[in-house]
Amino acid sequence: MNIYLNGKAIECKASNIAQFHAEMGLPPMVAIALENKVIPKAEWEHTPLTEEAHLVIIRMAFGG
Amino acid sequence: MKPLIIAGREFNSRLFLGTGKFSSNALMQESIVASDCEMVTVAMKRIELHDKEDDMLNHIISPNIQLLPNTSGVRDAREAVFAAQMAREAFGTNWLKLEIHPDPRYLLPDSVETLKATEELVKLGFIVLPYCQADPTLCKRLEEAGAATVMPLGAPIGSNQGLRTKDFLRIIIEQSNVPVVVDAGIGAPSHAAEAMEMGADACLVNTAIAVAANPVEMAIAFKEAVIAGRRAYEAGLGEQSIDFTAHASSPLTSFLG
Repeated sequence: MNIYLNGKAIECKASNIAQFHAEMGLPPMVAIALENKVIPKAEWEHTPLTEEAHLVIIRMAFGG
Repeated sequence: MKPLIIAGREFNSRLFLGTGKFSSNALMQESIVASDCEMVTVAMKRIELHDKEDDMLNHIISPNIQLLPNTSGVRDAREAVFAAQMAREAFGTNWLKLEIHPDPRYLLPDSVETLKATEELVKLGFIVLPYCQADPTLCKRLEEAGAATVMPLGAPIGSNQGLRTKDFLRIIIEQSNVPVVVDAGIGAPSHAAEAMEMGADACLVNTAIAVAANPVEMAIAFKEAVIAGRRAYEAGLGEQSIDFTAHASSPLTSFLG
């Protein structure tokens, strides 16, 4: 399936956000938004990923 | 020294540290420990696949330290609210350093968007510490909107220019019912001490420590400056002469009759 991660097209097998997180080997401390809506961690496995979905995923950086 | 209280949490240190620009994670961690600070800012970035630096937070996390995620990189209130919600998810805290500075040259905060975002984020349950212009009227408006502190700038971010906004900081401090944290531009311990002597409640320092030749020693210097400035403020500074005339500190009776 084709989806967009932070604006870039990528291929994945996952059918929900929890699976996507595992499939991509992402660190635990990230935040994920689907179609610009923030999805709490507890809802990841109940949130389906569909073809052409847009995900934004952020992680920590150092800053002032 | 009186503790600082923000949103019901007590802080013994009045120095907040930013985590940007350190040359290594180890130096950053040592500087945080040496500074005794209890509030540390972090930022966010879009993830890249196969990005394997997932132990970053281990250099910061400790039970004494309040994480303060910032919204750096957002251009308006709408983006700030989105970033705040992402930060709350990622870091598990509702504390937030709100910063909206769309202009890349001076990184000056957009007052209109900052006020709008503060109003909205407070309603969403965030503890909002807005980085803002040293504008006394704006600071009152932010306070009325429910900001937990105001964080007016001394000078542009990373400029090390010191308290260029001093006269307005004085008015802000005089009028504020929430803690005033001087953020941005503090380039030397003397600047931090000056802010604290004026009655600022805390200082946020990043660049001046991170880019020092010896960041750990500089962190200690800032810690001591903030303590000295605060102690002096609480002790009550003497008044300055208006006209540079002397006021004898020894008796002026003739000594030899």
